[in-house]
Amino acid sequence: MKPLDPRLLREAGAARWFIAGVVALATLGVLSTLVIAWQLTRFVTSVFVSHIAPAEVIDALIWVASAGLVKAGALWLQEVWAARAACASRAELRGKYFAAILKLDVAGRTVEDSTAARHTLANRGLDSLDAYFAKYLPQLVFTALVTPIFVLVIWNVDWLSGVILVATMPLIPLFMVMIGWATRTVQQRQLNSLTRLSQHFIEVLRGLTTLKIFRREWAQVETLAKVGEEYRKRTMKVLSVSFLSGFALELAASLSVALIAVSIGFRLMDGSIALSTGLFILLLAPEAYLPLRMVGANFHAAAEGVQASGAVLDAIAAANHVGTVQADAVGGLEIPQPGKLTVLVGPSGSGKSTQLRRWRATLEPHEVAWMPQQTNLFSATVLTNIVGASDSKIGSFDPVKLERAMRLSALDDLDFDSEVGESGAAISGGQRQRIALARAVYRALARRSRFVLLDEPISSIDASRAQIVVEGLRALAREGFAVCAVSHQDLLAEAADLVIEIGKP
Amino acid sequence: MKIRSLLTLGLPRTTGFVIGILISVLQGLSAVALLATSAWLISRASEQPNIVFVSIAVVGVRAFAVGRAAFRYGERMVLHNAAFNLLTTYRPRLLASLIPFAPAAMSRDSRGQAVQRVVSDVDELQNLSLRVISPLVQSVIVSLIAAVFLALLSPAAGFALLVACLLAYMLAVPLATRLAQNSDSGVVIDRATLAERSLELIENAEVLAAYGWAEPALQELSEIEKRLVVKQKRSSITLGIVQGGFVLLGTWATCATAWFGANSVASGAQPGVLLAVFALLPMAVFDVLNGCQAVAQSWQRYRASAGRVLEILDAELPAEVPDEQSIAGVAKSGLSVFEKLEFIDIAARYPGAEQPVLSNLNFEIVAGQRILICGESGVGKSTIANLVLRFLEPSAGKLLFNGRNASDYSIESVRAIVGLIEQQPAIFSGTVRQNLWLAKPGASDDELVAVLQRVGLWSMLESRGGLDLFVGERAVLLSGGEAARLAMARALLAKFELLILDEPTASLDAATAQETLRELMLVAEQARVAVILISHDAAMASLTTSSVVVEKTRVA
Repeated sequence: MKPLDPRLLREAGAARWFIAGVVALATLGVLSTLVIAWQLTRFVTSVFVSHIAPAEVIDALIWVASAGLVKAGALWLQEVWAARAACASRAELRGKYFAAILKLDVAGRTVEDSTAARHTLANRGLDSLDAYFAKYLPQLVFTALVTPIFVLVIWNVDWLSGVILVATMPLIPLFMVMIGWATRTVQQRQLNSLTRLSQHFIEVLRGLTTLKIFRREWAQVETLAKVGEEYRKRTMKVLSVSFLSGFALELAASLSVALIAVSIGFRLMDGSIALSTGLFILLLAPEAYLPLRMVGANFHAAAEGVQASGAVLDAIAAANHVGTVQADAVGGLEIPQPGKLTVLVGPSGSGKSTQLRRWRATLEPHEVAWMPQQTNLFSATVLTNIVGASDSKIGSFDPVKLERAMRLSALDDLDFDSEVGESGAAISGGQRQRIALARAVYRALARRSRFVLLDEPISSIDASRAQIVVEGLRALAREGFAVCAVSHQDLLAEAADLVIEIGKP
Repeated sequence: MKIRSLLTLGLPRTTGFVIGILISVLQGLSAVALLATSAWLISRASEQPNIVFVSIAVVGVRAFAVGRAAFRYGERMVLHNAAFNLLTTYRPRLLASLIPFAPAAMSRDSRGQAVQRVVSDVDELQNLSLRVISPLVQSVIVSLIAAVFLALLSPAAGFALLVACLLAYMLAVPLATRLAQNSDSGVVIDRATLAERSLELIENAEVLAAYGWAEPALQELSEIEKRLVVKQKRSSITLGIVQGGFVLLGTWATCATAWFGANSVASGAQPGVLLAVFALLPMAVFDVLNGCQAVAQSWQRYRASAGRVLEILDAELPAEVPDEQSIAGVAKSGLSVFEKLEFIDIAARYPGAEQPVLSNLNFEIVAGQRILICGESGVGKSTIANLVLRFLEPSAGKLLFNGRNASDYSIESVRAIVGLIEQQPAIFSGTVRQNLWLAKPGASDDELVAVLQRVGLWSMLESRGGLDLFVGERAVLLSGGEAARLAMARALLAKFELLILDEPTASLDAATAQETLRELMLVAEQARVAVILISHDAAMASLTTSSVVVEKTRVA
């Protein structure tokens, strides 16, 4: 992770003012700290060295208490604004990522770009970006601003302590950079292994029945223990490096404080400085290192989010280039004629579905009514799945066309308002397919989408209903739609006006 | 009571954990001692004594400085290791308690949640020890020791520090808990909803894009995000109050101890060199106390996740599902050979359902027979498979294997003899070989190739990597037909004596479907494997020796 990722900074636009506010408040906090240190020193030296009665210098303590109040208030507001900064940036980025996923077609997915991987990125990954915007970024700006103030103040009061401060301070960023290099690959591995663990778990849960059929379910329990143990070892490895960096930073800071304290002690002994100077510096020295140390601490908290944001920003950038289909990349067969029922046949894996996708890609979206092979449904009612969420909510659909679409799809055994369950899990495969079909048909009827492209519309439908569907599709074609289906069923091929065989030499 | 079981769930009972807590206390003490010793050193030095008097303090300052950093490292490593060890045991435990429920008693709506549950909830369990118990124990012990130390010098100062610490705990634990309760539990729910909805969006991206429905879906997600943001802002206010409160209490405690310290110095009860210690000690203590600022929030989050984990672990198996684990304990005769299966007036109902899916079902099949069970979608054909494989108990009637009650045999032995190819058999992300090994672990490549040849899959795979072909997540790199064939190959490899095929040809092209089925039937005939073919297509009867038609259960 770079200290400042320019791509992420651009995304932080929404949060700019909150971040500025956080920095301003933090500076106010530092000023209060200076007041507290100075007044406390005044109180202690007055009583201890000058033997003044405590009641006479009580104004110093009142100063301390008031500065504490200011510091507390600033800190409170700082926390609130930091959260706003994080929320604003994250919400914007997540929205863009979802939009990008919708643009990047399923066809364009790679193996690593699996559902689980996207899901982890969109949720856990982006959530962990909060640390970047809320903590790391403001802290970085604040540190750059405030550290020189501390150095100047301390230098003014006691130049030797100032020298120690200036000499030791660069150790902290130096350690950070070195450690950053060391942890980058481990961090990446950590995210990968987390994704793998979650992927493995989804698979096992989804395939639990299959596992039980082969009596392998208990073996999976053991495998999971092994994978989990592997994950633990990896994570511990990452942590041992991350914590080591924390250790180095803390050691550098606390040894520097010790160095300053001891040097002040010896100089007090030969009387070359006053106690007030020594005490003031002792109070300020840890505070001077604190901002830098916090950058280090937040750096690691932010790293996971930044790691995830890399993939997210890649996806967003990739989506910006999608949408222009190159003509030469399309290739293949000519687009089917309107008014005809065309059926693509051929053995499994011969590229029928690919051909259908190509056609879809060359057409304008509004011209196409599309039914993919994977009939995932939305966990909503049948109606919502057919006409879409927004139209079903406001009741803006054509009941006549809807009725026809359902009749054509032989959807006679489900009501409008039946729930289909998550991804359609509550209904049978045939019912899912018929709902997906009705969706495409309704779309064609309601929006006059001329091209009806169906990938395996009747593969899970029983024979009598399949007959109804085939006749319906023929009728649709006669009305001037270009109905084009990929099918393995003879029934559909026999009814076609045109059969295209794919995969024949 | 509830809190107790929540605590037992996430607390590691290992020596590692105890050692980790001890180290963290030492760390806190070193931090406090570093500042106190430094303050004393400087004050004493200003009196310009003999160097011997301060040199011990100098060593102390350096030692505490190293100790503060070193103990911190040790504490984090040891505690994290203890927490992760705990997590590693919970993942398989959760799976183990879900196993008896699959598939008949599994809530079918829990896919998105299952991801959320297992990954996030189990991960969350670590935070009880890391973010709740350890900072609390550390700061309580350190602040007590510091307060007692101050009280020995000046009772009033010690008391002032104690009161400040107590107020800080009240702010960090009960008050923040109450403040955070609403917004934080809401955050958890919104996160879960967001996770579910986004999974739906990711899975349905193609349809959403093709139908122009993306806008409302994105809208919905951004609504959830907005709700999440509102709650996060609210909980940041709480967190800010706690943080600000700690600073305020810290400085005010400093004022109080400095005041009481100054008075006892002025009255001559204590030497002046200690005044700086009076003034600086509370700050060091509050530095340690800062560690428990977020305890309330961490506890809220932990409680929500741990509650869900407990729910899974403690869920009771419904009566409709055979209790595989307790049955496994009882000695039962094994089903060693398949001769005959009889369904006599069988009825079945799923857990939680009001109406039976099947009633009065009668049929039988003997070794070597191949029968077709057909009927319309939704009449409960797949339930027959669940009954035969003992995933579900019949609610009425008798299910007999070789003339004896199915429940007389161990479930293990039934599943060794009876197999099923589901409508959507799970193909696991991995190689072809790994998927086949599911049925016969460690089978030789020759054997695997032979079985792939029998289902007509080898010729398709040979050039693409053969047994080493990676099939992708949910078999995306295989066509529907190839996936079905792979499932068939797996079933053949397991050498079942009775095989149920639940709509196996749905995604195969007609010619290949016929061919594959015929081949399978041929293998079945040769090996005397009986087959129950479940299909909506009555035409499949040509492949079987007899057929049974299942009608929809009419509710009286």
